[in-house]
Amino acid sequence: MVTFRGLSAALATTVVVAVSLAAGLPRVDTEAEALFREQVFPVLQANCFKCHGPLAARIRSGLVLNGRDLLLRGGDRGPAVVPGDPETSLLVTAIRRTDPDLSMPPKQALPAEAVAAIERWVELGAPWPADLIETRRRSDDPDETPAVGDSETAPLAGDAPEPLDHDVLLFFENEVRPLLAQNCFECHGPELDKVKSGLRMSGRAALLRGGERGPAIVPGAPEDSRLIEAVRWTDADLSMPPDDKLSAEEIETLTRWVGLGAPWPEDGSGEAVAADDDGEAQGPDIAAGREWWSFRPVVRPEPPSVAAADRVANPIDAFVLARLEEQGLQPNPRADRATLVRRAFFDLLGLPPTAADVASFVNDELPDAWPRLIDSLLARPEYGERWGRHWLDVVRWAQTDGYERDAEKPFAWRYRDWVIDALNRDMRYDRFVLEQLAGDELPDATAGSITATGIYRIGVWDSEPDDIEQATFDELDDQLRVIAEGFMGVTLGCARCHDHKFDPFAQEDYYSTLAFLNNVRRYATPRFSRDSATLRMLDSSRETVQAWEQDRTRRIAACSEELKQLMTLGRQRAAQSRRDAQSADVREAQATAEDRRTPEQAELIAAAVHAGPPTDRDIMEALSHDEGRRVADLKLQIEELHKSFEGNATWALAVQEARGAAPDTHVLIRGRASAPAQSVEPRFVQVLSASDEAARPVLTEAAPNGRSSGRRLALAQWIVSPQHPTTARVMVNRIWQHHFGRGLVATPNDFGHTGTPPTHPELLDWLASEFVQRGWSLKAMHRLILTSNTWCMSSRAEDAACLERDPDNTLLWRQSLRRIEAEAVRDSVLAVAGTLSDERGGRGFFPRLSREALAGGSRPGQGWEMQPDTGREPRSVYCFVKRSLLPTLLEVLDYGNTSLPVGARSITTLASQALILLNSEFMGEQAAAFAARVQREAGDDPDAQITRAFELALARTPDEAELGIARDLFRREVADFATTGRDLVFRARLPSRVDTAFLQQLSGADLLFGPRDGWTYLRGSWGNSYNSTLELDRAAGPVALRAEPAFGDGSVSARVSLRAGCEVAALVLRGAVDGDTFSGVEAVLDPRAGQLRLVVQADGVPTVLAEAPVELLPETWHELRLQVAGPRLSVWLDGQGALDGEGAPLLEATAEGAVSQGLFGVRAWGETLRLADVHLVADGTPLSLQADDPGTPEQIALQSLCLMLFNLDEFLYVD
Amino acid sequence: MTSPPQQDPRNDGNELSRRAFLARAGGGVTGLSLLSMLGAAGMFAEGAAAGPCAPGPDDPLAPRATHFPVKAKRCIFLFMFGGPSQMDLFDYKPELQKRHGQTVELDRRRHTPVLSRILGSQRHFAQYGESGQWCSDALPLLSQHMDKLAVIKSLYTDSFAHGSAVLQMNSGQIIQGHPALGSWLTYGRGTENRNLPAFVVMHDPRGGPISGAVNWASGYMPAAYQGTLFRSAGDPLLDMSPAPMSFRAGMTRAMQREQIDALDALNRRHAATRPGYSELAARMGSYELAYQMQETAPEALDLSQETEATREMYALNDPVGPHRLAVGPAVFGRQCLIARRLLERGVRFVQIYHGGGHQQQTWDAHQGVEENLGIHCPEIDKPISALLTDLQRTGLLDETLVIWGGEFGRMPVSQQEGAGQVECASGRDHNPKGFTMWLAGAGVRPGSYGATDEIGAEAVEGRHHIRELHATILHLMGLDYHKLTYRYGGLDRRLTGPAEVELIREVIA
Repeated sequence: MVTFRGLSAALATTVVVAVSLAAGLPRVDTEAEALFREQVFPVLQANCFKCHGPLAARIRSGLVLNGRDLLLRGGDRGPAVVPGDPETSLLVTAIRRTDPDLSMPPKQALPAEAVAAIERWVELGAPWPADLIETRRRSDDPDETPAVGDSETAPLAGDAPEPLDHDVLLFFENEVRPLLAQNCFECHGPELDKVKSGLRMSGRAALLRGGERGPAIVPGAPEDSRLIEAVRWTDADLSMPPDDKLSAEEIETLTRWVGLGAPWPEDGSGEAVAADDDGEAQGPDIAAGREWWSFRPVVRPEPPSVAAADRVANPIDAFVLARLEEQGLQPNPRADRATLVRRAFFDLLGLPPTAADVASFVNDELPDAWPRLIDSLLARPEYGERWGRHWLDVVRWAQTDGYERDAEKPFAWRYRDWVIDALNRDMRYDRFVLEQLAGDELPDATAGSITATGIYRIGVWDSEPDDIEQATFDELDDQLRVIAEGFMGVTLGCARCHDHKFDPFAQEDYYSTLAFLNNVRRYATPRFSRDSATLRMLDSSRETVQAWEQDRTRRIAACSEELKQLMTLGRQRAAQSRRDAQSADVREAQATAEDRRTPEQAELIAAAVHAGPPTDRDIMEALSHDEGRRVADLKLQIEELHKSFEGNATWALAVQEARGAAPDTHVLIRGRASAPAQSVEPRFVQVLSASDEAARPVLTEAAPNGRSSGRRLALAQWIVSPQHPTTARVMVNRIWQHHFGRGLVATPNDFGHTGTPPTHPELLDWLASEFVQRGWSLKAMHRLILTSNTWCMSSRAEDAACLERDPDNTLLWRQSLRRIEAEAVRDSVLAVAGTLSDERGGRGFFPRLSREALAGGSRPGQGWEMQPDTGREPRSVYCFVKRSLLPTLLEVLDYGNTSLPVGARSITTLASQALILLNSEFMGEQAAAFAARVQREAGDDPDAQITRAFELALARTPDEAELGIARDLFRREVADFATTGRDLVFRARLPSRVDTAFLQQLSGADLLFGPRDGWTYLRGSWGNSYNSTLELDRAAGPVALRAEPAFGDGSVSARVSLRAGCEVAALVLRGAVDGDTFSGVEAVLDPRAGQLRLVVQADGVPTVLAEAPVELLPETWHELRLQVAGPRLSVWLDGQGALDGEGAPLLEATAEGAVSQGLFGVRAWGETLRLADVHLVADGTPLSLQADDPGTPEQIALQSLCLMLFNLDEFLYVD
Repeated sequence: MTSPPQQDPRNDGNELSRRAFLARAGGGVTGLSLLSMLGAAGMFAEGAAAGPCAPGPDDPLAPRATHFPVKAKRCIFLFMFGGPSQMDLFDYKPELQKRHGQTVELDRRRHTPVLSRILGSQRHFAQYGESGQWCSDALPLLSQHMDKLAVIKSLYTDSFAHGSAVLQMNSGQIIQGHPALGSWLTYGRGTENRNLPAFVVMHDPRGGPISGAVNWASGYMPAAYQGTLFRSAGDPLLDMSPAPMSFRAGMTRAMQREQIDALDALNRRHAATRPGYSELAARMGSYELAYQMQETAPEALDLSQETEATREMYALNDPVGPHRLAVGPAVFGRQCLIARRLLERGVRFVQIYHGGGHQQQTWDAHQGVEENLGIHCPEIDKPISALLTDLQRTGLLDETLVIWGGEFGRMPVSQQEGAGQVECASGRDHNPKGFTMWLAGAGVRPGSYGATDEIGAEAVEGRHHIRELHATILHLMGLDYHKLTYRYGGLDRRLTGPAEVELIREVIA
């Protein structure tokens, strides 16, 4: 029997095989058969099979040309051939092209000799030797190579069928194959670029392997075969063919075939399928794979010798210079000292130096000034914050789950703090890896190392997965990708569904690696309990645990005791009230001696006794409202204490393994959890191991702690073993990247074939080897790099030769100018404004979010908190990171993706960045703080102020020209601001519907922005509660009330301007606080309805007394006057008398006894309401009202100037 | 780059000199392409994209050629968040109505099949137009447009849960972190408008969709491709004008001009000593653009430029319905009209969410499907009809792809024995196994495609996963879903993922 064993995968022509399929097959070639074999079949195959071949993607007219039976059966038009009669054979008619409706092949006529051969063959009876059938073809179009990710998995080791019996063969070829071809191949054909559901019917092995739903057949067991199930249409979810059900006979044919073991002749070995699938079935060539540059062991190269030896401060320079000299390029000179110190500050700390920092270094003439500066920076806590943030990108750190609920992951911050601390302590990198991957399994595990395992817990988590089994593997996949990309720089995750398309990672490598993690318990809603899957007590000593248990017992007891007392109280009261309620008759009956009671009396008493003790309901009714709530609260507390109790113990989000033997791990067909294939043992990625032998881990039964399998420790130890080819390379590349703006390998998470190869491979290897030799010390590497001449080069891109030959600086002839990252922008702004708090660590800081950012959520504000305004804010690394709600400033400045590992952030330049840096509330506040600082430090002289502002922002003094520009702006703005900025401005700070819990944290002033001094703010009425959200009642608040004076009769007049989008604007008189709302009289402008209304608010209910249609144009000044005199209320709008009340009012009403005295107030919602020229007359006394003092025009102009400095390129870029 | 001309630093109001500088900084480009320098440095940190549509690193938003010629220039996605009930709107199931009240065994949310009570639609269906497509009386005005719609009744998706299903409808993946459809379109075709964002999102006043901004994030692509929230009143864009709570509340446009001019003058001096860094020029351009956007973006909101008849057509004068969760048709109408104005101004992709928050605030009809339709159908019926009429009238429909639908559909049975959900006899649970969406406009062949089973529980004929809808949308927009890739994490990523995909050929004209 001939198989495809010898066929090369590269053989890209149509393969038609005449095979002697069975030993006993009689083979007598008649003349006609020879004609067919030599002349007819090749013609059919070349010209007809595309549409009528057994493997055609789409069979036309139902005609399949593959055997005599099929010819005779024919297609839609009837039999194709009448043996012996060419004139009535449709096949012949078609190729003669005499019938315009039936001309074949459609595009081009066959050569005359081919037509003649076929005519003759038909005349001779159209014999078709059974052995001559088309069996397989593959595409010869090189453009049709499968796309990334489209490849198939390796075939299962199918049991090779016995050579087929002739009858079986005929059965398959004559009945089964045509059936499959006609009904299935349109979607599952072997030739298709893409097949549905991953099922490609290219042979027996392919059917065994199946598609997304798992194997299509179980040979010999039709009842268990999906194929049969599908064609029977018993499962609505899997009915094939989808449009036309097969006939009963056809189904029977297939059933019989599967029952026979699904014989498929040419598919006797897996290789046949392999040939079809570009040879992938053999798996990647591991030995050859180990030759890839990053998978080879690190061999320490000798630094090359260079001509300009005087420019070599350390070997880094030698490697870089050698390349430059080779190309005849000159490296840039050293940057000036002021540039260097600024660059070092940003590189190491992410903060700008002060002018004093710069001066002290520039003036330090001692030879060790530079290394001393570096050491002093490395010793500062800001170093860990800066470099910790880089690492947090790699591990996709965030503090919430993502998805619908996006709940907080408690103590996710401990992991962040652990990273920062580890870097500040210069923890050896190998230890850094070990603690994160297996900190709990280490023999010397500590609280810190357990915290480090939070890396497994900080990814996204779908609390409501659609398919739990699949979600479990998605979570494992997330962890595996972080480990593979983060620590090893390989995209092993791509081998989840199939062998890696470009790198030598077999699908089995993926699952063997997954096996190390498979015993990790799934993330679950965190519970403070000893069996929590996700939380761990950091000090789990017997004493601590006991103390925690006792604490819990004590609290439960305390709650229970209080509950008991309340219940007793209620019971007593219930009993008492029952007694009180008893009728005089009962009391009389009870007072009567038993023997003297009448039957009626006895009955009454029996009934009273029968009522039994008070029920819970009686008790609850006997308690006051507050007592009742306390009871409910205590019950809840007790329940919570039983389930989850935090206590005084210290908890961390950490990894936990399931006790007991680790579960089997299976290769999953196409990554589908529902389609497990062979099981795999934990094994290291083969190509990253020195040999196949070395890929086998030594696994102990369990880790020293006895709670886990020890598998993760084995994996971690392998990753940090000096033999691992990528670990050190990947980390030194990350370090390099953040010192030069680009790594030696530009794709830091991908050192494989799809990544970018290193620009300086020897340098990378030398650094990797140096890293290990220097005890995996990051700080040692920073020192090394920062003391190289290469790092110290100027960033100027002026050298014509270099620009011409190497415009992208691939060869490192210069440093690069870089925009600082989102966090560094915010931190620099705070540092310069003098508002940077030195608070470090902990749960995190909640920046104030704009209402626009809040509005995007389905429950606006859910999970966000309102921070008390202290005027200072911590560094950005301490901002709370909620996956669905990133602070806009950071997000717009390319903060990055919190769901996937990020190796290098994008740096974009967008107009939205300009808008936020110029116009946002945060930037405005910081500019004001900056200006105040400048004024404090420089006094009132504009030139001194400008100079000081430059010093603070840029650590240098401005030159004359710059001073000129700044002075000019300052002067213009002083003039401009002299005429503006005195209006009263009110603006809503929330969307109209917000999360209930979020709203509860807010004060009135958090809802409505307006003047501060002497005003109180009420939250207004929020209701229409729905799904944990509340909606503002626009008729009742929020409102700002002027603190004094309270008055009875009076008036207010003002010019009012509404911004487009303003929904409500109102002036209030006799306003009084009434809980969250107010009472009083108001003149309401409703631009949406185009109405002016006179309203009385009392008991939280507005009553409209009068209304009139008015035209309210946005951004237009309207004159409005509201007057109260006893019960008489009047409103004027625009026109005569609007401001002085001389003319007739537009609205008038009388409100008897409504509200008699109160304050002036303003109500606004939607967009900004602006009030100018406000005149208030309170009981005859005129009072003028102004906005908070915005400062003198000079002060505002200085703020404006300071804001501009924050927008300077020099501020936002580092040379 | 050549050195910039030396300027008198106080000559900061000189428009020409700034332009001249920017022009030279950008290598001699002028006019609109000057603004195309809003590029990025090191944008494709994970490696550049492949294919003929790959944008250059200097200008991520430059307009790009399609893979093949198409008429479509822009796209609007009317996202009915919550999952509209197909059997009450377009997917007429007489059998379902006939069998109302009978029990049927159906699996719900991947639980074992349970006996459930069939909930027949209360709506009356009729055939409309020449095509005779079915539509229910819940959408009396939209039913007049059936001849324009390609109604696909046989879509299915992977997830029963809103969070992941909305993500998947937007990004193809149930997992966060992948770029949205709008990001892909912007990446594939760039923008033809520099004064407005290329990818605009508007949401419902009741709230955003579940997971919020994640749904229009650019995932692993640069921020240039993320969706921008666009408000339909006040300032359309975030921080469009100085925050009134800052000292700059009183700033005028002239004052902002002065400030940007001074900034420009200082930045020019900085850049002059740093030739070779095009991003510095790009940054200056970004401030200029920001300044222009302050005028152009609000202009798109200025509906006073429309006739009263148009405003009336879009329901801008219509009252809010009586239901406490209703916001009335004027809100969505206003958004649709603004969307048309944005499309006219060259915005590539507009997505409007109708329904925001949870349950009856959205199309999520657990608590009563009639009540739900009563809230939401009147809110979209007139606006969408107006949009279709208006697009056709202005000829924009030939160049605009319109997409309507939600993240999944609903069950044909009542939510009586809910699987952990609200129990409500007149409510319907989520149904990802069969649901309806429609396409209209550029390159779309109207008609009805595919079918669910006789009670509408599952797609059975011409089934298409929403991956295939995505592939079809890309195709209609002139992009080959297979060739449009972005390199991330070692893979050339596609919107449709690695799985095999077939176009929904029938809907392509």
